[in-house]
Amino acid sequence: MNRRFQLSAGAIFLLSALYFFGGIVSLSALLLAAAAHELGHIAAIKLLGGGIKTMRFEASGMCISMCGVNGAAAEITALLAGPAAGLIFAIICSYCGAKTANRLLLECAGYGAILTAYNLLPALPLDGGRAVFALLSKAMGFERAKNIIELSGFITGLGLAAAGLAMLGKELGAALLIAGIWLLIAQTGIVKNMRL
Amino acid sequence: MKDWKLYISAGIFILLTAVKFLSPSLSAQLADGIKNALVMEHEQTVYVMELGKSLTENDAISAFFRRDTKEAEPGPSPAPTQTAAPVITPTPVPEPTQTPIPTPTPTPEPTENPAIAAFLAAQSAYSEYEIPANVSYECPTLPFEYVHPISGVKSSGFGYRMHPIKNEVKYHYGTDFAANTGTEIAAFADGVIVSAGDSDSYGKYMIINHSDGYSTLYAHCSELCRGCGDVKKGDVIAKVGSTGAATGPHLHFELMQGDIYLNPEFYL
Repeated sequence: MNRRFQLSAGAIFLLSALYFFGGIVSLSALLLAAAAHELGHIAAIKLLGGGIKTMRFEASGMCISMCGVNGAAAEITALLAGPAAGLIFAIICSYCGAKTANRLLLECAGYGAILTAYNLLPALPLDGGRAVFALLSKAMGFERAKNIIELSGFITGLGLAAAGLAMLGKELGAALLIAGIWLLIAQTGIVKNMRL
Repeated sequence: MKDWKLYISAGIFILLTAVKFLSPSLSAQLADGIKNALVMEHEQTVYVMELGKSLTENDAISAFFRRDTKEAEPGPSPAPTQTAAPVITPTPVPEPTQTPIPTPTPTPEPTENPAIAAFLAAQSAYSEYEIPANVSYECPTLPFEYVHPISGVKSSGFGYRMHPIKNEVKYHYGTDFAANTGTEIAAFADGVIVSAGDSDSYGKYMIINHSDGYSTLYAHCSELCRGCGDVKKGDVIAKVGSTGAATGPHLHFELMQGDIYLNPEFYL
């Protein structure tokens, strides 16, 4: 397999589960929204003079490892470009979807908004967490930033899981609970191996 | 330093174990919730679509439910509370001369459309009541083909009427068609079913979004035949019933353009 683009077994499992539970339209909408998000990152990295070392498609989603983007401001710009692109994509899809009553476009808009909000949470390995970590590292050093973002990630994961549990109790689905549990699990040892 | 993770995780484990032993009903409810979550593709899809739609415009569904709890306040007051509540963008309602102004007597200015003229004449009996701000008496040309949603007899029209249950004058935001329970209900036009559920007032209902911001609602159904997703004009989507606040089997049919209610009878 191409070393720059890596597809994990977990990603295949995720796609299978999404297709099984969501259907082809929902899966397509989710993938399109995710693609818009990742294209935002890639475009920003290229514009900032950087490059893509690897793109790993994992069970947790796409993980881009970048190089040549120097400075906290540039890193944060590259990190936030993904959610920004996702939000723009969602708004365009919402407008066009409402005009044409197209289910795929409306789902693209919905998933785009959800992905944007989720990725902005202050928890690693999400974009919001990475941006906060880059900012804190610059301001107070790696070790203190690591401790803070670790705690922030754990609290965010717990909060998300609790909200997900409440939603599940109201029969509003398990998606948020699964996302919260995944975020909690992701906190284990993630900072140690973290390199922006 | 790392021990706090272990303690919190252990705490969660103990908490969940305690819930399981101390409240078997709650744990059973959670287990049922997970089971339901695995088979609720349609509901989740609806939430995603609603969220997507709400990014750029006021949500038709929330407008339906806002109205569900807020009926028009009769009275001569020129500033009823309802006018302030709905956020109405200036675009949905074109402003030709035909828009009824809440004057005591609707001017019997002859309109080209006999259906509108007949409707205004019938509503003149309620001339002292203010026309709700989220209602238009316009009859814009629909940008799609449509069919009659049911073969039934109109039993209650759009506009002010004596409410059959509350026994007071209330605004009726749709048209009722009486039919036998089980009579098939067809989709008014091509579109996307964005909501199919059950409420105290509407009973089993369904909302379809059509193109250009139009939407239709079908209420008091006995059975919903479709989940959310694309639908074609004339497709059977539900069956007539008397669920929710209804005195007998009928279809309550509403037509909206954005947040504005239109009179379905102008098209049927």
